[in-house]
Amino acid sequence: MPSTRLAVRFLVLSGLAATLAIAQSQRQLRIVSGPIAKAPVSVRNWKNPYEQQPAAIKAGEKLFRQHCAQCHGEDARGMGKAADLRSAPVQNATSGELVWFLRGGNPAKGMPSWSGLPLQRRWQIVTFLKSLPPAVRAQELPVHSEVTAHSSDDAAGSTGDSLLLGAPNRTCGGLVKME
Amino acid sequence: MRTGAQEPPYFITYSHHLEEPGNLEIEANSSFATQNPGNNYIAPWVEFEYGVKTWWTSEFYLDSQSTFNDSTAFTGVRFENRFRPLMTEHWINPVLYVEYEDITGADKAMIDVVGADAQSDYAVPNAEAQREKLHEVETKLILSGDPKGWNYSLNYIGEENLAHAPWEFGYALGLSRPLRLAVTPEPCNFCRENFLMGIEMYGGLGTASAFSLSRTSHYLAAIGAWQLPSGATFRVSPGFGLNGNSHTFVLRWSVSYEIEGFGRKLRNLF
Repeated sequence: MPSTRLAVRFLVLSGLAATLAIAQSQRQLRIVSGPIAKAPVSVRNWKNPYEQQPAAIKAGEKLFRQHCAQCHGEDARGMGKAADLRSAPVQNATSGELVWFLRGGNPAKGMPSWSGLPLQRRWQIVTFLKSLPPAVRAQELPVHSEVTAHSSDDAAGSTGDSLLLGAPNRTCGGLVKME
Repeated sequence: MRTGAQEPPYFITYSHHLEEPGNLEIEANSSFATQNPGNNYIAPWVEFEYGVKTWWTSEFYLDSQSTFNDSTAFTGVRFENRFRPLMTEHWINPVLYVEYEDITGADKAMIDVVGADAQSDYAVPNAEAQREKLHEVETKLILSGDPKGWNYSLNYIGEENLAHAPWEFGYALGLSRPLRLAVTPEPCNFCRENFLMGIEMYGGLGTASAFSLSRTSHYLAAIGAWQLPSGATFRVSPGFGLNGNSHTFVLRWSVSYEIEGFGRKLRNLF
């Protein structure tokens, strides 16, 4: 029956597409988890001096637009090779881990080091990132264990960000993607 | 909005901060120097700096000069590459620099000072100096770090004339800091956060056969930079010679503009 064959093809293609999408998301999560997982234990509990301060969020947004939006998009949802900064790996990381990561970046994978920005400016950027609404929750996927093993507890303890387990909502879900 | 550069404001010294990948910075520079004996001069040069990769920046220069009471001349081109060998950030970070120069003896950009470079080298009339063709390779070991909002940079320079002469060596040291470390929430052009101040010192270290400070020249310069959120940066640097072999006074100034995503825009054309 032609209609049966069509239905089978549709199902197979849909399954294949879903598998590829999940695999891609998982791969991005693993890429993201790498640099942040290497953060020294001591940085996880670094206190953000500007945490949730409206002026710092606004200043961080200004810095974000100057330095980050070119790659990550004006809405921080990622663009091209750059990550969705509302995604779980970013939002579940502690502020200390993010400010530490910004200092060194991941030059081998396309994320520049931002050590040239004074620490105060990196804290302002992190304050802005932590104020972003989470990625689309309707498409939540199980997060790779190595991503959340250390970060979700810290996030829950400090900012309550453990709720932000949304999966990346587009192809650039990592902090950086493989080139 | 443009991508804000995070480079320190130095004219001579390089830091470990490379151009962001895909960005093109166009920079018009000039140096004015007093000359004794001889005529004072202005040496303008244009730089095109492109971030090829996060760890690799290429730069192309067009040099010229205008000597008072003499003439104006195009003096050649330079092509440089900087590579960051380590992919992690440390308290001091190395960058390797390689440059090829195809210039004439009339080049007065004085982007670096090596060997026994001295003020008297610049006293030769342009017509005569233009006849000397120089093909040189210059290498630098750049060491730099960013503690507590400051940037310090150390450059060790080695230059070789491909036709003859031994290796010549030089150094450049820089220290700089923004006037304010955190930024204000409101957009502004004249906030202290947009201004950087610094100093740099540079000079020659002799040659492979005579590695010493004898007959070398040395300079100390203050630097100020104003980085506008629009992507433009203005810099100025008054410098002073530290011994009799140096120009008494060197004033440098520049204006630059950074085009974000230039590589992507270029690729989209084809």
